[in-house]
Amino acid sequence: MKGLGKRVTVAFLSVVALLTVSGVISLFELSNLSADTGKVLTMSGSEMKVAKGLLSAAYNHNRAMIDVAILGDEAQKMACGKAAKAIDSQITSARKGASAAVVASLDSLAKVAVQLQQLADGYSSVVKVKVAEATMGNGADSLGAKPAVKSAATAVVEVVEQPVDGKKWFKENYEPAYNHFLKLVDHYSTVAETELAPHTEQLSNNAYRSVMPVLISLAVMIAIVLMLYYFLYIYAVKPIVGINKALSDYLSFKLPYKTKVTMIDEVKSLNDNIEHLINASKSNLKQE
Amino acid sequence: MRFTVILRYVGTVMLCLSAFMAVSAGISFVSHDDGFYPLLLSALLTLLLGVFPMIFVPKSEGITTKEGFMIVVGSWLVSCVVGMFPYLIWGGEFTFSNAWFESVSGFTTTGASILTDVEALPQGLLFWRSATCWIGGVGVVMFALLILPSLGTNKMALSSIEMSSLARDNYRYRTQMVVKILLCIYIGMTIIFTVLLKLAGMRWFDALNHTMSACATGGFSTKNTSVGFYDSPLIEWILIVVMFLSSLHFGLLYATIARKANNIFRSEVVRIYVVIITLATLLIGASLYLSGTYTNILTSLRQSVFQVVSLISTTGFATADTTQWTPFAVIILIIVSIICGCAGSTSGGIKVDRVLLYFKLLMARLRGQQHPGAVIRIRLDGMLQDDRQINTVTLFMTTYFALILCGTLTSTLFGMDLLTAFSSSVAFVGNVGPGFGEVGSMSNYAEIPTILKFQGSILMLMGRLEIFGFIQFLFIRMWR
Repeated sequence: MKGLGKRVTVAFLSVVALLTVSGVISLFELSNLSADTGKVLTMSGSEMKVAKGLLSAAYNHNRAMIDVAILGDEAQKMACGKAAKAIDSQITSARKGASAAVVASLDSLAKVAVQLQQLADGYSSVVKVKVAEATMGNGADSLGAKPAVKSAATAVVEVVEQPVDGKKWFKENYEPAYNHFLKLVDHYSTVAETELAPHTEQLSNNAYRSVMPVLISLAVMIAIVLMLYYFLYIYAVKPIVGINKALSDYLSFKLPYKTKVTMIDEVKSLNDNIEHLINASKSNLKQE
Repeated sequence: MRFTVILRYVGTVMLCLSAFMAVSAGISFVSHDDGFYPLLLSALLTLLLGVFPMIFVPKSEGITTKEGFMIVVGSWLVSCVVGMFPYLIWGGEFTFSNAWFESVSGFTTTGASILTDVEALPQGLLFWRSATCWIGGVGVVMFALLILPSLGTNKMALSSIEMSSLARDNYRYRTQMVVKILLCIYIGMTIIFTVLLKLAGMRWFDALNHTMSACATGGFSTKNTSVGFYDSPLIEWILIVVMFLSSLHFGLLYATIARKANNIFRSEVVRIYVVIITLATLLIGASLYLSGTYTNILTSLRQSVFQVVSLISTTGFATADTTQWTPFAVIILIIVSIICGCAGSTSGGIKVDRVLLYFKLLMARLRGQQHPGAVIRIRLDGMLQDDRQINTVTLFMTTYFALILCGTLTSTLFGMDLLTAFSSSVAFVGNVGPGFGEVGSMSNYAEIPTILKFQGSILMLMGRLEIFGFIQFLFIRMWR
């Protein structure tokens, strides 16, 4: 390649091109980082929404059961049904696109939700109990007159309705199932968060890859700039300084014009032209 | 010494490396993996580093020995630095020290790896790993000489510096032929054995990578369990042949193919080499069979021959976990890891030539004592060895063992057990790859302290540059 100007231009353009390429690659990795971050946040957000929905529905179911079992308001059974439907709806929406581990967790939740609703549907404030009443054989009437002949004793079974101790029922039957349901919601959250781990690691990789190209390019750029300085010094600055000194020595002290530096292109032609001029000047002087 | 000229020629080597990075980027692009952008950017950076000196520095026909020396050593060091770029930009397990270690290990054809999961790498990076071995096998400068005809008369100066004097001996041709011979043998072997491995059942990609690594006696595999992954006797035998041929002098291989007189069948060094391999195989095979490690004698011998050839050629491929073998087998494997292949091959280590010369010197000394007035000449493969050559061999071997000792000492200082420290030092200086103990054939160097990774990389470079090359570089200012 000839021409000092061209060489310097090409050198600077190559540095600019490198900066551009590394910047583009960095931007590309940053956009990947942004997309993956959005994905992680969306997944995390939807998981939290589902968990919140489940907890809210479970809470409503629980409140309704308290009204039914403890406060005796049977009309609240409808609210239980509504809450159970809400739980089912949350589980169905969470299944879409979920991994096998999350689906397994949701299956467990669905099972327990069914149990809760079965408990709610099966609850009644009275319970029918069979009671056996033993009667005596003398058939004594209410006025106490004794019958003439004694007969055998008989048991009479009657079905009577007895009130259910709602508090006791709630504590022994409903509360364990409800607490189990809450634990499963917690488990679902843990499983769903664990599923995010590979995506989070990908974020870390993306962040690394958006920064590292710039750092490496910077290191190479420093090397290139140092080389550029060195080459410009060796091929431009030093020769011009040498030419200037040699010319000054010739003009001031008539020392022979000699330069001992490496030159290329225009600097070399400048040196050659000066030598030619000096030689021509010497020849003219001799002729005179 | 003209620094500008040195930069220009080192830049030429960078151009070759950037071409290989571009090919690796292409592989990643075709495979749609995440290695494309790291390799592309690395290729562009290396291209710029290579082209930049050429923009300013004119071509120079004459270079001094000192300049040639600086070009060779500088090329190796800069190659290892730019070789890190794809690893560093990709990330994963590659921290700065890990990337440096992996790069040096590739170019010096050691094949020691810090990766715990090789198969997690994108295809492009796997190819780049194998490419660093392939380039380093014949020598980074020699590779540039093979590819670039424009270096003119400087080819001879540079090739003679990178090749050891022992290696030059068996190239009984004009120096211009030497580069052509290397080209024919090296690339020819790569093509032939890639096809053979593909026919044996490997995928094209794996076949190419394993062949590149085997021809360079590097040892980088594309699988976590190395060649053991394939569990195929045919593949193992093909690789045994590649490793064996790659550990012979390429000049002798060429002479054999060209039916010249100084071929491998007439070479004293090759005969001794084959005897060592045979003896080691039989001893290890017997030890493994008698200890019950393998119940079938043929399996025992097959495993034995593979590991012996793998370590003596300094390749480092593995088909079994040699740390589970008998202590007797381990000792023999360490001995062959020290002796290693023939001069003029891609193997590292002391070389059979030097060991043979040493024993001939020993015999000559004994006879000299018996016959004080006798003039005893030492010949190697029919060539007379002068005192300078013999002194160099003795000095080399002494320095070699001193390096192993220093490496062992430092490693134990940083908490390594003795077997791991000693075997890893032998593996580094000899460019073998796997050691024993914690860095066995089925392990890696991930867990060793960072300081020992840097020490290991220095030992690998010293081994690859035949020790004195590297030491001379450190004392370059004294060279007037």
